[in-house]
Amino acid sequence: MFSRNGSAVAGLVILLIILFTALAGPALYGVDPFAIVSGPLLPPGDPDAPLGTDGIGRDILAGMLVGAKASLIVGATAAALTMVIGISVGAIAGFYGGRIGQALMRVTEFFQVLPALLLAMTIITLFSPTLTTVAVAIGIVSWTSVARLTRAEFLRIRNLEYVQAARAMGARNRRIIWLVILPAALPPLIVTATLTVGIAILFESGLSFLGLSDPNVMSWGVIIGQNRDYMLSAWWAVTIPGIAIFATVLSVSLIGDGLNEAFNPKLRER
Amino acid sequence: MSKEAEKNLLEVKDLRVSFPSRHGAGAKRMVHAVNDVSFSLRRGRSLGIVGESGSGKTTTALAVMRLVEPSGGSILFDGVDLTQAKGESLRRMRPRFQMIFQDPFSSLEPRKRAGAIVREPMDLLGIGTEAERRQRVDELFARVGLRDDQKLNFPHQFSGGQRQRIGIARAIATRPDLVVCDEPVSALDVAIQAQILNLLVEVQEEFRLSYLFISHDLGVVHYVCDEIAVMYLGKIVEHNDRQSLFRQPLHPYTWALLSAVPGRGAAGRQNRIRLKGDPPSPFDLPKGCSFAQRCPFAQDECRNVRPELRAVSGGRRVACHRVNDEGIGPHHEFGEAVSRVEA
Amino acid sequence: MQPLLSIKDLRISFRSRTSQFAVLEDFDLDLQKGETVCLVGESGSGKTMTGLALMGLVPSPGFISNGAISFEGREMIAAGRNRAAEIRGKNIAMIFQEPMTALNPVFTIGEQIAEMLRYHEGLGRKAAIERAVELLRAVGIPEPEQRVHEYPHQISGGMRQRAMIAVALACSPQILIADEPTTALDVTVQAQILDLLEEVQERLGTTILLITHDMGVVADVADRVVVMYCGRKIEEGPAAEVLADPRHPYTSALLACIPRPDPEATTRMKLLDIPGIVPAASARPAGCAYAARCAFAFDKCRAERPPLFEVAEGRSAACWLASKEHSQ
Repeated sequence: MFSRNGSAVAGLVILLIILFTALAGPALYGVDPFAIVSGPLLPPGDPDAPLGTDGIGRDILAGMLVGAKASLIVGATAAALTMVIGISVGAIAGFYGGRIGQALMRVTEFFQVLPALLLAMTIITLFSPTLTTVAVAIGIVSWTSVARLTRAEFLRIRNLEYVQAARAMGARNRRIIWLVILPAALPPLIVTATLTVGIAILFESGLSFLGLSDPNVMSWGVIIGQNRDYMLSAWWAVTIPGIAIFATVLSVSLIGDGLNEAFNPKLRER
Repeated sequence: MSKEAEKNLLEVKDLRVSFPSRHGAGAKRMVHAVNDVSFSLRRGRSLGIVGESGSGKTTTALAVMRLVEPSGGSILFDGVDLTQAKGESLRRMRPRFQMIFQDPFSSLEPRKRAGAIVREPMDLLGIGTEAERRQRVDELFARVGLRDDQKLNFPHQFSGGQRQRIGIARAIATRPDLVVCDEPVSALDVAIQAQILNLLVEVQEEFRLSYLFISHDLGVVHYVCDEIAVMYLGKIVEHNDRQSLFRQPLHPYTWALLSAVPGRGAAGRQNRIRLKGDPPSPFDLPKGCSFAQRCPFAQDECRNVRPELRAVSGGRRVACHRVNDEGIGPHHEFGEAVSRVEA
Repeated sequence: MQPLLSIKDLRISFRSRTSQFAVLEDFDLDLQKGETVCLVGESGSGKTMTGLALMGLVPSPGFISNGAISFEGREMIAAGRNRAAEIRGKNIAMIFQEPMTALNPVFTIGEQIAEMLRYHEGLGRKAAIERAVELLRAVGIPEPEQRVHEYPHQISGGMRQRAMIAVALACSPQILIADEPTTALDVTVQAQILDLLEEVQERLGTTILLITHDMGVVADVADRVVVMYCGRKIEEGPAAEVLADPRHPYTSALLACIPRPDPEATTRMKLLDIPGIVPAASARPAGCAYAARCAFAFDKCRAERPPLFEVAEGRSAACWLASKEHSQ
C-alpha cells in the first residue's frame, strides 16, 4: 500500500539519500569542515571547494556532509520528544477531562506563554551546550501545540460510538486511550510530527547563530547561522544548507502522508 | 412459565443522572437528564423506552450500561447493584450485558476488520480459547446473515444494514443476558430496518435475551417490545404493556405522541391533539408536572404538584393528576388514538 | 391544462475518472398548481437528486446529461444557468432536512429573510425586516419581533425548521420543494411542521413537492405519489389509490415492511422485509433493478427493463406484471 504511493516512495528515497550522505559522506570526502581551505566566499564550482566556501574560507561541502548527522539527530530527537510529551499530556487531558484535564491545560498554557527561545537558551546555559541538551531544550519548548491538538482530537473522538462500544465491551482506560482513540487521532499528529522535525532543525540553527550550540559540532544550522551576514553577497552559503533542510522536511512529510494513507483503510482502497 | 423467567433480570430504582451543562458562560446549570426513574425487566422480555429528544431515554440506557455515571438510585442486575460495581468487578459483569448502538457508521472502529470487531469483546473479556473465539465468530457471522469472506472487510465496505448486523453479532458474542439497544434502526432505510428488526426478534428468541430497547419510533417499539415506558423530560410518565398502551394510552402525552404518528390519512387526522411548542430542555425542571406547559388539559394542580407514577385499574401505571383511578383521562373523550392505516 | 412545472426525460449522471453512470434516468413529472406531490423512496433512489436538479443544485461531479425542465412553459435547462436562475428566482424555493446546516450561522434569522426580500423584491432594509417579522409570525413562531434578531443556534430545531420555511416563503414562491423536512424532528414537532405546510398551501396555493422516505407522511399529505427506485420512477398515481392498491411489488413491499402501532394486534407477525440491498448506481442490472429483491420476478424481469405501463387513469407502474399482456 505504502509502495503504491508515488510521492511517499519519493520521500523515502530522498531521506535515504540524505541519511546515506550523513553516514558515509564524511568518510568519502575527507575534508575537515573546520579547516580553512581557501579564500572566503568562493562561489560554488571552485576546484578546491565544489560548493564554495563560507565567510572565513571553510569548505561548505565538507560542512554539509559532516553537519548532516548533527542536524538529523537534533531534528529527530527533538521531534520525538515533542511528540511524546505532547501526546501524553494531550491524551490524558482530553480523555479524563475534568480537573485533571484543566490542570494539565493550565500547565500547557504556562509553557506556551514562556518565550520559546529564552526558555531554550536558559536550559542550554544551565546545562552544557551539547547536542542532547539542545534537542531536549527544543522538545521542552515545542510540545505545547501537540498537546493542544491531541487534546482536541481526543475530546472529539472519545464521544464517538465506537469508543463507547469499546468501553461497553470491557476495554480498560489504558487500552481505550492508546489503542482505540490514539490511532484515530494520529493523522493530524503525524503531519505535525514531520513539521516538527524541520522546525527543530531550524531552531537548532537559531541557537547556533546565538552561539548556544556545541561549538565543536558542525551542523546545517551552524552553517546558516555563521553566514547570515553574507546572505546578500554570497547566497550559496545559506541557500545550500537551506535546501538540505527543506529536502529533509519535505521527505519526512511525504513519508508521513504515505504512512497515514497506509494506516487508513478508507484511503487504502483508492 | 418457569421460576427463572419470573425473576427480574434488571431492576432499576430511583435512577438519577445529572451533570453540569457545558453550554454558555456564566453560572453552571445542572442538567437533570434522568430523574427518579424506576422499572424492571424480566428475563427474555423486552422493555421499550420511548420519548422525544431530551426525554432522557438514551441517558437511561447509557446509565444501565454504566457508560455514564448515575448520580443516584440503584441498578440491580441479577441481584448485583451495578452502581456499586467499579473497575474489575464491573468488568467481570460486562459479558452479561451488552449494547447495540444507534449509528452503524460510527459505532464500529474504522481501522478494524469486521471479524476482529465481532471477536473483540471475547478478546477483551477473556472468553474461551483462541480456537473457540474463532469458531464463535464464524457462527455469529452466519447467524446474522453475513458471508464468511466478509470477516476480512473494513466497516466502510459494508452498507448501513450490514454494519448493524456486525453490531448485533458483536453484542451477542459474549452470550449476554441483557442487550441494551439504543435506536438500533433509526439510521436505516425502511426496507433494511425491517430486516434488522426481524433479526433482532429472532436472535432474542433464540438466545433468550432481554432487551432494553430505546426508540423514538412507536411503530418499532410496538413491534419489538412487550412493555413500554414513555419518558418525558427525564421521567417515566406512563408504563404499560404494549396492548393496553396502544389501545388506551393513559397519559395525555402518550396520546399526543400516538396521534402525531403520520400515516393515518385525512380521517385519522380529525381526532388528534396537537402539542404546541418543542419538548423543553432539561435544565430547570418545572415545579409541577413537567408536561404541564404543553398539555392541553393542564390545571393548577398540574403546574404546582409533581405527579408520581401510580397504579390505576388493571395495574397500569401513569403519572398524571388528570387520569382517575379507573384509568380514564380527559383525552379519552376524543375517541381512539390510533386507527389502522389503510396501507 | 398546462402544468406549472414539467420535467421531461430527465437524466442526471455522475462522472468519475474511469466511468460514467446515471443516478436518475428517464424521469418525467408534471406538477399542477396547488397540488402536493410526494417523491418517495429509499436512499439512492434519486429522489433528492430530482429536487436538487429543479433548484439547479446538482452537486459535482454530477450533471444533467439529458432532458428538459420547464416552468410555465419556459424551458430552464437549455436556457442556461443565468436564465434558469432568473426563472427559478422567486418561483421555486426549497427547504432542507437539517435546518441547522441550511441556515447561515453567522446571520440572524431576520437578516437571512431580509436578504431574500431585498434581492428579489427590491425592498429597503427596514421594510424587509418588517416583512420578515410578518413571515415569522405566519409560520407560527412566537414573539417574532424578538426571534427576528436571533441566530439559528439560539432557537430550537422545530423553530429553525419554521424559520427555514419562512425564508423559503419570503418571495411567495409558486413551488416549494421540501426535502425530508421533518426527518430530523421529534414526532410531535414533525406533525406541527406538516400542518404548517398544509396551511401554507391552503393560504397561498403553493405547489409542494415533498421528498420523503416515510409512507406515513405520504398518506397524510400527498395528493399524488411518485415511488422511486434506483434512479427511476417505478410507480405513480393518486396517493390514496397507490397506498390502498399498489401495483408495483416494490411499493407494496415498502408499505408492508413498516412496523405500525396497531392496537388490535395481539400476536407479533413477522415483518415483511425486502431481502438484499439497493444496487449501487454504478452497478445496476440490465433488467428491472428491483428483480433481484422481488418475490415475483421471472426471467423477463431479469432480461429486460419494464417501461411504465398505464394501469388506470392517471396511474402507472414499471412492472411486467402490470403490463396488458400479462393481465390477459
